Amino acid sequence: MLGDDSARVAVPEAGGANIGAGARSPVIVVCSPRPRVGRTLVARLLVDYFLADGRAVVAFDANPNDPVLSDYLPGHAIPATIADTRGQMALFDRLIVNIGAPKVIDLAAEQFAQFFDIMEEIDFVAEARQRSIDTVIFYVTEDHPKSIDAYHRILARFPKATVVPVHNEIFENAGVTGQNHPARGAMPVHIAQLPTLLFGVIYHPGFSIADFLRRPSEFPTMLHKWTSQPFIAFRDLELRLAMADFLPLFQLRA
Amino acid sequence: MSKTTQIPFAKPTVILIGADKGGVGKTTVTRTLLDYFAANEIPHRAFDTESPKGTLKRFHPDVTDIVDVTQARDQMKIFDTINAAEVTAIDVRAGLLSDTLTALSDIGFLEGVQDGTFNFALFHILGPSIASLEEIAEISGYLTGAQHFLVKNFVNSTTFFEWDPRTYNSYFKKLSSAQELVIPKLNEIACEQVELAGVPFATFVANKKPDGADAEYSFVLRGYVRHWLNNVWAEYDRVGLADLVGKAQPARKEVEPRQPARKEEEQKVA
Repeated sequence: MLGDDSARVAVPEAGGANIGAGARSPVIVVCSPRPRVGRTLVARLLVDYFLADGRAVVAFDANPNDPVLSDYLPGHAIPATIADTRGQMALFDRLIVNIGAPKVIDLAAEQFAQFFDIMEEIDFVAEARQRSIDTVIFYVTEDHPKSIDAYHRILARFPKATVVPVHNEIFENAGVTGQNHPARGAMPVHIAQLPTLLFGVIYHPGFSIADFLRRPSEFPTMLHKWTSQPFIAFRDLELRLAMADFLPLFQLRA
Repeated sequence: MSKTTQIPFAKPTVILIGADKGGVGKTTVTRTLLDYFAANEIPHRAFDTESPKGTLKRFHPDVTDIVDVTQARDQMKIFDTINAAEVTAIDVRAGLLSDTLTALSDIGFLEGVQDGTFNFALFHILGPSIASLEEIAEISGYLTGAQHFLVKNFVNSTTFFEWDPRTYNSYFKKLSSAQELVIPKLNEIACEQVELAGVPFATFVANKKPDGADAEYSFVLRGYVRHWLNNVWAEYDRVGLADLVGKAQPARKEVEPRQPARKEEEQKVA
């Protein structure tokens, strides 16, 4: 990485009126450098949050060895791999287009290092910003030195990205978000322990959280209660991203 | 020819890019040099000695002429028109490096280099064989007063330079004035796509066609090329190339703004 920005080939500026002229939309990467931390459930919750709200969302299942997200979100999740250049083009060339809808990537642990290497090398965050695309990294935390170290490297490598620690209590070694995993640009997301009854329901093949939540209900169900905390955090994130456009209006002038 | 600002009081600079072996990436290196000069607002022109084909001219038609450097008429075309305001880059065809240096000696150009009338630099692109090393010693005899850059070009191959380091160093140490340059590897598909596009690397990064119209090159491939080109230019900065050609500080000019191709991009996502 070259240190001096002035001595680099610049990311081409969005010279035309159309790039980024639509609504802001996020690219949300759900990740962890360690497997089995409940990452796919977090990706599912994000996608279902948008679907339950009646909004379009595109999901990418970057988990070629175990494409579980596609099983739960048929019709919404596109299989992706970054093992070769063609796959990288198929994924990143889609991510960089602002279609006015959020995109969620469920990134397998074994693709974690390569994905962020590519993202840094092609200067994804800078070009995405020019197209009104916010890069958001949902990092599923773990109380493990490798996970904590990788988190801080993500913060350092992508200073313009929003980094959201996700504390998944379903995973017993989830760690504490506030200490080892400080959030940047958003509040941490907490996913509460899953009641045993609910566990069997949401992991039932073909069960759609969004479909269930969209059905009229006279009183809040266990699923409504369980999803409320992460959904509030998602809503908060969206508001913060939307407010970023207006922040300069509130800044005091010298 | 280049329409950038002229540098007053600079000495004329000639840069030769060559090797006695073919397929070591001379033209690729020349293309990065022309992009570097353009980005740093250094006036420049180029001569492609791959007569009559002219690979370099395909990528940089506005600043490139095709010549046969062994012919007196074409030598006049190059050296009688040298002026202080421009860098002249000559992409020497495979097998012609020694002959070209002999020709430069014969016409008195190398004498002018020694007495300080001209700046002269040789970008000597190394091949993977030991013959390439022997060639270095032979050529260095011509280079009194010149800058000699030994270029390890990895752009097309990852298996270059698997020489015994002791053998390599024994040759390299004989050339105390030579500087090493490393051109890193570029992603194969990115390299292939720039070739197909037939545009300068910087133009590919800016997502433009040869005629300046908007292109639809892959964002990923443009990113790879941009990253690679930055690394190449950092090498040129490191060896003081801008200083050599009379520009005190590199002053990058940003690549052309890209025009959107939103409809096409949306189709890709759909």
